[in-house]
Amino acid sequence: MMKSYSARLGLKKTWVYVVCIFLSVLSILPFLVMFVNATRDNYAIQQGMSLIPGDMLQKNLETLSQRQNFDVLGGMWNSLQISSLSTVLALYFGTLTAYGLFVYSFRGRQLAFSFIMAVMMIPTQVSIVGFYTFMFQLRLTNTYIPLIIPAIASPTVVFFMRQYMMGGLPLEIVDAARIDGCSEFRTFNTIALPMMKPALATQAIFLFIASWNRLFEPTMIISSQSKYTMPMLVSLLKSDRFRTDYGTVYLALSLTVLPLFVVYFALSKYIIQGVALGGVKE
Amino acid sequence: MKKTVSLLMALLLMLSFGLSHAEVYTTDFDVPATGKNFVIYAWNDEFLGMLRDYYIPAVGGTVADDGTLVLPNGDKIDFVINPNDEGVYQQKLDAALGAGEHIDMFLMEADYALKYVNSDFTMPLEDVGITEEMMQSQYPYTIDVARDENGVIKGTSWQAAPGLFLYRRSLAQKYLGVNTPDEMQEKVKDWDTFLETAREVAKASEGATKLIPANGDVWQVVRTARTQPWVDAEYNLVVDDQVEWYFNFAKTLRDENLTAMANPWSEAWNAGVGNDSIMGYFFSTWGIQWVMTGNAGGSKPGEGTYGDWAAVNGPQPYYWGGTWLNAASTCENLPLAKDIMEYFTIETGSMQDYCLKSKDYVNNQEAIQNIIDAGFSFDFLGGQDHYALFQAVTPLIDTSTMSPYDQNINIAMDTEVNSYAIGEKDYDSAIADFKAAVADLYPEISVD
Amino acid sequence: MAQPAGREGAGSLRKRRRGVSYSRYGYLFILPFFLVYAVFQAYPLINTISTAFQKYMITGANKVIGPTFAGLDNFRNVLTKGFALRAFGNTWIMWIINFIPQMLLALVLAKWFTDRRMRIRGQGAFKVLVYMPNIITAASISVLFYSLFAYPQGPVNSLLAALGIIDPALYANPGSAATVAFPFLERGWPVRLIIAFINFWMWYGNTMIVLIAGILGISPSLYEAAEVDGASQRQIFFGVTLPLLKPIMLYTLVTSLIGGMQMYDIPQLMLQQGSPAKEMIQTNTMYIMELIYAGTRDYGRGAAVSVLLFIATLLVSLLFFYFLRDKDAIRERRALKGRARA
Repeated sequence: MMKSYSARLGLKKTWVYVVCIFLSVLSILPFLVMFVNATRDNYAIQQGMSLIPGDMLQKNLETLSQRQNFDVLGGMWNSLQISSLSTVLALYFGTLTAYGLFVYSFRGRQLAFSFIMAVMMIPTQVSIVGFYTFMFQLRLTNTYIPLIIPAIASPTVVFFMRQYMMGGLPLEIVDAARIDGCSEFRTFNTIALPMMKPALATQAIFLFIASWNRLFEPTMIISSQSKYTMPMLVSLLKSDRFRTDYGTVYLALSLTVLPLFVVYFALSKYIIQGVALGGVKE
Repeated sequence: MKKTVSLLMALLLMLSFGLSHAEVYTTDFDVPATGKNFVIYAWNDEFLGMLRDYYIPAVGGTVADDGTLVLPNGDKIDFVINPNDEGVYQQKLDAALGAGEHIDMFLMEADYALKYVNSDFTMPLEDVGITEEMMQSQYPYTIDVARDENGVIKGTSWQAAPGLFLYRRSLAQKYLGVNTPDEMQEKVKDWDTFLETAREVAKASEGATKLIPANGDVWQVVRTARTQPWVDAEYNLVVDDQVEWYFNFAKTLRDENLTAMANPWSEAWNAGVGNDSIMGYFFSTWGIQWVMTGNAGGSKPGEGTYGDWAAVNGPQPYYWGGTWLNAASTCENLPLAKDIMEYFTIETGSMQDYCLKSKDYVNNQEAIQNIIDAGFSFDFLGGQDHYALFQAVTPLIDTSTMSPYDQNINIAMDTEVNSYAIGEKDYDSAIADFKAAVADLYPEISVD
Repeated sequence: MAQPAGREGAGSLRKRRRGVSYSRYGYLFILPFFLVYAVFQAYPLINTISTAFQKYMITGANKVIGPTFAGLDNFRNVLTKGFALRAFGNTWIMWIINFIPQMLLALVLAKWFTDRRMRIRGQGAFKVLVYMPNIITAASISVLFYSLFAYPQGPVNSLLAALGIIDPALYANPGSAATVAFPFLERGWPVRLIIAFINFWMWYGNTMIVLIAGILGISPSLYEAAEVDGASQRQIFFGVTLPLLKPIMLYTLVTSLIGGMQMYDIPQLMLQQGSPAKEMIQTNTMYIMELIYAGTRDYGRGAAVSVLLFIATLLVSLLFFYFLRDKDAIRERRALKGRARA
């Protein structure tokens, strides 16, 4: 009886491992093909799928850099500006708001919090028409301001920071600071904020990556190619200019994806942890 | 007087040296510096290349390491390029113009030139300093395209775009048994014969070679044979008889596998110039130097398919495209705009120089005539004088069926033609869906 | 003056210290959020809603028409002659094809990884690998797949040729390749499936990790009790685990649906110009983008579709909150109130 049970279990385990290995390969395979194709020339790519790297990387690099209008570094710099600034703003003001809701008791506190929770469920895309025409009136289209300033009002950050505070920020500390004559604002900045570091770090990763990957809102607002973000540049890869040489397309894709790979594998532990804690789902 | 003399000398030099590429045409440059960048909007880098390879050397400017074009007076030229997929170039241009962004010049294609010409985003050429009299060497149709409702000229073009049918000599010999362009013309003299020839080629090569890349190429030719534009003066959508003919022709091509399914501008379409998969292409003037010579796989007869091509008139005369320059209403450097326009669209000397070196077909009847008189032969086409061929077609160009809506309507139609050709819809549903798509794009057009 | 850290104690802590009220700081601290929200989100939303009832468009190059009041005209137009219903249909179909397999697979994997008897190893590495596609820009993945499925010749087609599914000899020749290769991007269903697959591939790792965390959060004593009662693994899973996972599964469903209804990046970049598939993959947000950018820039109708999208999103959220309401807590609160009054 025992033997057949463990045999069945063993069979099931094998099946599980097979499936998991298959899924793991599935997660990597398209990227592998992409990286490999970046090293092959156009003709070879069209002729066959291969997992063996070619030797055309140098040539593809030259062709790509000669097409002056695919500025990978420029696009990354643009994305970096937008993503880092919006992440910093979202974190700071989100935590500030959560602190305000958590530490202070005032009329309408519950209402304010419920409002933020409600608003969390409304994606920005539904108001894009009004947003665009409004920004157009303010002459802010084709600038980064509409992509950065709104981050100050990030409901999800408020939600998660408040959750963290409820478990990790003892109010006695605030009280103690007051006794010491610390102003409320200083208390927040110098005492509370540093205590939130782990939550801030996790949120920072998710916010940054989400902002980096955004395509819809930037496409709405930005019209000059020199200001394009990474995903916007990637969308250019579909256009005629690149349709003569697939090698450069795969190479360009590889370059755009590389920073994300690096960041991910460096921080994967924290990222997975953050997801398990109910990470941001954009 | 001094300028005329130097022009004559340049011409003489050129004529005596034949197709010498070593000369750099030079001209005076007396545009004052403004200290600001000169902003040009385009959908590809063709004009950028023209400025870089012809205008900048001619006026004594330089090219910086990162590719920026620098004029002799220190001003820089800033190119903003938004590709044309799904009509995005127009969208970005409109967004920029609407926001009052500083744009000095922007390029327009035939498909939507009217839209901008009829707006006040474009400046009358007279205000830029170019009078109609100065444009007298140009082909009249290019001027008419850029006239607004009051007859004011708003744009100028450096090229005329009559079309021909280019085919591979060796493949035609192999699969059709034709040896001369005249024999080939017999094989493509009208659409019915053309279809038969397409079948012949596919059969003889056992599918390895097809006569044309895709049905999209046929549309470029047929659309100019319409008698009515897409949208009439009362904003009604007009579905010309040619459209129904085209839908069915495209389906036949598809059903019988007579094309290589290489959509215009796709990778296979570009590659087809250099391999044996496609026997012929419909191209107007710019196509030869912008697409074919680069993709032929060589730069001398014998290399790749270079030299193995020939041109014939094909089933009907047509024109395809053409680019117009204009000064935007926000232009801050009119003298420079004028100088650039003059270089490429007015002055015979510079235009002839550009024409010979690039093999483009410039919008200057005098220059073209000079080139033909000098006995031009194009080794890419196995020695044919394609200028003479184009010159014969140009007077036949009729642009009365152009509308400002062409680009987007053609894209919408393309979707329905493909739907119909693969058998997803019948003709009536395809046309109904086409009308619905146009109505959605342009609510001001009535489609019933 | 140590105060107990309980709720009551903390409340008086917050409220005052020697008679000084700190409550105004509450207002101050939350002010930036609400200010920015009012300006950059609330106002645009109100603006959008009001524009939806107006005729407001830009024709030609810059000829502005409106804004003038137009009642329900925009809504009527996009729902009958326009493509709003089609866009909603496409969006939901592609979401369902993605979500159901995603949830099923995530559940199965979560069960396997939390099964104490099986003790599957390598969980950490596996999680890292399957979550990875979620991090990568959707735009890059889409252009990658767009290139992989190229026609007539492309990597996927060449794979089919190598496997003999399509004639390799005919495929090798560019002229005849078109007759045997698959035009994936031309047909609606293949593109829909590719889009759904990309979404599935990007999100199932995320869902799995969330579900594992949920399962691990269930008290083991419940399992022990069930086992003592003689329940089989299967019964335990369906009778104990799943019901307790309901809130998390619901949360995943709702966030996925709300996100799915805004789907833009992937279908937009899988769209090949001239492809008949467009009618089957154009989503809500793609349609909104087309209305306000292509052809005549119609802000009225774009806003109308946005409002429809907003209503749909709102309904989903409300349904979620309704299903997730903690019936026990509500009953408790009512009882408390009753007792307090008495």
